[in-house]
Amino acid sequence: MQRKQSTYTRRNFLQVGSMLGLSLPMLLRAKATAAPTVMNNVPARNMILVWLGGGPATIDMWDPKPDAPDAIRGEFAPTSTSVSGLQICEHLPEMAQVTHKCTLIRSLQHSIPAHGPGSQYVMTGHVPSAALEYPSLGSVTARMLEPVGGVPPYVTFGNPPSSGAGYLGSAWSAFELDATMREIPRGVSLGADADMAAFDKRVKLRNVFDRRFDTRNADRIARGLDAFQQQAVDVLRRDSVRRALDIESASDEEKKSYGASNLGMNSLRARRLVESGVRYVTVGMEGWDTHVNNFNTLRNTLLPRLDKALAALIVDLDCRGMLDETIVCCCGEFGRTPQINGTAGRDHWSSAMSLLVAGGGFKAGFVHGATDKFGNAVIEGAMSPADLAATFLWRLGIDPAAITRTPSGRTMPIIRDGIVVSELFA
Amino acid sequence: MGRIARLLVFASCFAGLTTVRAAGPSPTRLDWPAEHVDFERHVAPLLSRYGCNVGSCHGSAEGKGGFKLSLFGFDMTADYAAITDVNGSRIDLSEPDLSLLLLKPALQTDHGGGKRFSEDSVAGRTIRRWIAEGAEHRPGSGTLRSVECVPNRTILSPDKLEIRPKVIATFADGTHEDVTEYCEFRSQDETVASLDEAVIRRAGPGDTHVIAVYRGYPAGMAVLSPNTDEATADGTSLFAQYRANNQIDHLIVQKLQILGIEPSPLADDVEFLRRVSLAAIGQLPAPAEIRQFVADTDQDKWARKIDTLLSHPLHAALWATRMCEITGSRDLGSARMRDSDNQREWSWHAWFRKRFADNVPYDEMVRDILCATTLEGREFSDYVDCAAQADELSDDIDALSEHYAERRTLDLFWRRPKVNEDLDVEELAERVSAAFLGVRIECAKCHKHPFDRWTQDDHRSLTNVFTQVKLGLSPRSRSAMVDLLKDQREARRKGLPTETIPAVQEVFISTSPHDKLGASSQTKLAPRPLGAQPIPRQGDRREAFAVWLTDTANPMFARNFVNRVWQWYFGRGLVEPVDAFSAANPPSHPKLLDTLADEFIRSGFDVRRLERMILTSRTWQQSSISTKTNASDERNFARAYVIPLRAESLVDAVQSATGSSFGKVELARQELPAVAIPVGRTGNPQLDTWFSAFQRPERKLTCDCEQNFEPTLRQTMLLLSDPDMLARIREGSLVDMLAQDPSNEELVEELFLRSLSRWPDKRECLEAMNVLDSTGDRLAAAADLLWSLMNTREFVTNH
Repeated sequence: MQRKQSTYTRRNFLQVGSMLGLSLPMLLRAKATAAPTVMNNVPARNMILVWLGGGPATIDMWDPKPDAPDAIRGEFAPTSTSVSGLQICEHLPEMAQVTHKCTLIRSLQHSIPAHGPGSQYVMTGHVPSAALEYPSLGSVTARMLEPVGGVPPYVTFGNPPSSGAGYLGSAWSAFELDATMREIPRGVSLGADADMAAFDKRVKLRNVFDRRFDTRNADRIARGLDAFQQQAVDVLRRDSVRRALDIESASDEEKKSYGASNLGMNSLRARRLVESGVRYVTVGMEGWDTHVNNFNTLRNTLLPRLDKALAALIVDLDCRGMLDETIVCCCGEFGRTPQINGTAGRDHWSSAMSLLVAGGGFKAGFVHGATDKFGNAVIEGAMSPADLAATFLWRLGIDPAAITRTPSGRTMPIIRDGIVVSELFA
Repeated sequence: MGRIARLLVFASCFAGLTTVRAAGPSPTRLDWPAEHVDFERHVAPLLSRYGCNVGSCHGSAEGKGGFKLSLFGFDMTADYAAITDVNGSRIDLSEPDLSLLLLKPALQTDHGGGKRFSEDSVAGRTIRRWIAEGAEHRPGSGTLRSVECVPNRTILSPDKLEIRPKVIATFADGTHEDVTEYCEFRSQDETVASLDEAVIRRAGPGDTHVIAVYRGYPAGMAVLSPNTDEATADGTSLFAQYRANNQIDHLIVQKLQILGIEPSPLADDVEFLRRVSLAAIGQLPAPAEIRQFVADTDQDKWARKIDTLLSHPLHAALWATRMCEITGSRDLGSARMRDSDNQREWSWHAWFRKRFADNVPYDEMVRDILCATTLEGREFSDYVDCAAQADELSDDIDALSEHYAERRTLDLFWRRPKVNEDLDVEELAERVSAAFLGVRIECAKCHKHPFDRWTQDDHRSLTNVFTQVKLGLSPRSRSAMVDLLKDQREARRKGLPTETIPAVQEVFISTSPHDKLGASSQTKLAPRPLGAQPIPRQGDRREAFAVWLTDTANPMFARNFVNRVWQWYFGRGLVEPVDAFSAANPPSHPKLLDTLADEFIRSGFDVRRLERMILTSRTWQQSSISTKTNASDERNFARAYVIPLRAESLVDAVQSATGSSFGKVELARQELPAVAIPVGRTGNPQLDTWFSAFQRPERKLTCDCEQNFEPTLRQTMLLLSDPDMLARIREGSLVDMLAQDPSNEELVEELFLRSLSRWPDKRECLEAMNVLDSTGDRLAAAADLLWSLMNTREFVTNH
């Protein structure tokens, strides 16, 4: 497949600007205030976000505290990994074998320990506002990167929170798929044995009857529908979504490596979607809100499923030579309290959490930041969700300071307060 | 208006003055900056204007660089203490120029936040002078009564390309002051009005608002920038032909005339009929109805049609669906209780449907939501009998919901337990505020609202209106229950037959509410509606609140509702989004909003009358085909906007165009039109797929952001590829139609009327005939035609 590499040039910036409906003087001013935008490295093309909904206890996953008292350390022991000196939880054995391909960030922090707004912050890189709904990074990516065509640019599994397009408008919302699907959902394909000639004939006829509506074509909605029509016919003709989702055609070995869980199946589908040109896929996995019975839940279900799927995804992308151009990120809306509560659970904790990143030109076998000895606070390399968002977008070749417009006409940088953390880049 | 006009006079009389005293007979002339630099009036606003106190800078919980300000400056006493902290050397009284408060933002010394202003700017000079004058703080000196832009509306034409408005603050002590220098300005559309500090410039045709923010308190100014193309020259005649139907049209066309945007001509019969049917009952008109309507020569047929549709049962069903969304019928609270989702949603829907069918006044309906209790003043034993009756109906969801609809109050609204039986009264307060006032106060839960006047204390005082609401068993009911159980035991011992006592969980008013404390006062705040006087702590506070809310003197209540109705029919509110009423989000047509609200109040909150007023306006009845000047209009209602069909309406349109149904909803006695389906999850996989792809609102949030009917790729793909759609067409009423052996012309006409509710034009007719002529398989050809028509934009939108 032909890979277009785009370096950040003034021309590109102007294109972005006109795409977003900025007038030239505004754009020039935006440019004057925006940070200098030079892309030295080949940006990543795609991103897969594995979203752990409910807030994972990352102290029990990526940032173990073996020397802390019982009431903090928890029931799990650390295990050595493929990176010398780096330890993660014993219940992530397959991940332990691939940490040399990953960056662990142990220093994400924010101040919203509530599911809804916390998710919004991490998903969008903006502190939530009741006045304005910010777009998810997936929607931003769909909006800003050149479409590949014939596939939806942004796909989600399982309706993860705040994965919408916010003020960008629904043209950029996610193509939502059911996380528990067993078969190809209705309305993504004409079927493997469709009569394409008959379809084409009907579409042609449809276009004839649609022409009269062009008198209303100045309308935003009418225009949007027109664009979707073209795109939808393309996707259906290529049958790209069904092909990617139809994992029956994958080898048993492949399926086995990802695990039979929904997360495993959807991770495999995500890889196939990215391969067919989808730019951003979010795979949601619920159940991480472990106020009660944290350790059994993690040990018996959550960690084994995640371990298998995530490690398989990273290895698979790597084997196919796709890891360098695909960012894999695994995180949730916040971490959980180092202090274990009275019901063997951990509660919401946003002051310190860890996440895992791989590929996309992020360093391999690297740990960024650190928490204090009990995991309560970040003591080194603190990053906010805004920093994280800016860093990912930068990596995808999108200037986080680029100016967009809300429907009411407010101008808005894609990310307002984030700093690109270039130490993370290889 | 009066006060603003007075202010205008004030401001122009003392043009160039900055401090204007309302009290004194002859205000003293002063040079800038003001007589005294005041901490609250001048210094604190600058900290806001230059963004010093936002969450990413010194307003963050930990502050920045050892210097912490309150978020958005809500606590000026704390900010003053932080600034004058002796360890901070932020203030140097003997050498003001060496104060860090000056050096840092001017970047004369290291500052993580970079340069905010220079030393010789207004800000720099103000702060310097404040320090030189002793850096004092008079607590309360800056307490605001109001902030206004003067003028609050301006027209920028090629003859007058810019304006420098004044922002006048009125303080609690009655003094006025020009605070322009201390404000931050924001243009809502820079393609219409651009900003250079406080100077507003014409950037292009259109209209928008510029918002001035003084210490977090916004004031708006409407900027109208007329179209100057020659096109307007022809427009004059179009305006001359314009015939207004009612007051709405006068106010709409007034602004269009200023802007030089011509309204579209009136729609024709078929355009009107399709639009009004979809808008009022969510259904396409049947071919026979279209033919009849067009043939009807009665002058009043449009008005008659409107009346018929407004009293149609599906109109009430559509309203019920809408109210279920506004009130969040699917949010059960996180601790699920006895009510199953289905029972609850059916009952909720039925309660509203009955009220809209009876055209119950809106204020009465809202009172019965707000003041709901489960017992409604009945004796506990009477209620238990009633609950037992309902229990017997539990297999028949229609009967059960009709039984519930007979209740006076909607107690389900309050039944959203979080953990066990606890209610989240803060969330309920936010819900009430968004649903019935159109004001979102969530921001103020944690800090002062960044661009509205609401403070944390406002949020908590409103919450205290609802702290008495409890779920469980009231002490009175509990002892009644104990008696009942005792009687039962007694009876059982005597060997008499007994009936099981149903489990009861009631919404009731507790006499010992846990009231919220003030944000910094540590005393229990009095319950108080937004921006109003406190209400008594005793008695059901919600009743006093409802009296305040529905009082004809309270403009917020009626305005919120008329704006929602407007948005429903036009696809866009006069205030948009409809639940974001705020000084920072002014209406596009303020006078129209007031007029509609006044009419609504005067009519005794008669919903149907309000709808009739809107639907009979020329503005609503104009065509969606644009004129030369209104094609890009998106907020002046110069043409009918194209609105995507709601998910339910689309399903009904597919059902009626094909003559084949999607099937029954789980538990329902019979098939229902999709617009009348009360539940979020129908248990019918086909319906659920279409509802979810076409983004039927979840009915969980009160937020208007759930109402997203914008098209998506998924929807278009579903329409193009759903195999059942073709099957539906081939097996639906097309079969009967062909059995009558119509001519090709008749067939084509029927297909067009069924789907697009209009006749084909010549070209379309020709194309369609070609398709029919080209094959011997008439059914297949007709099916292809209908499929093609149903995949047009014209089919999936209202226009």
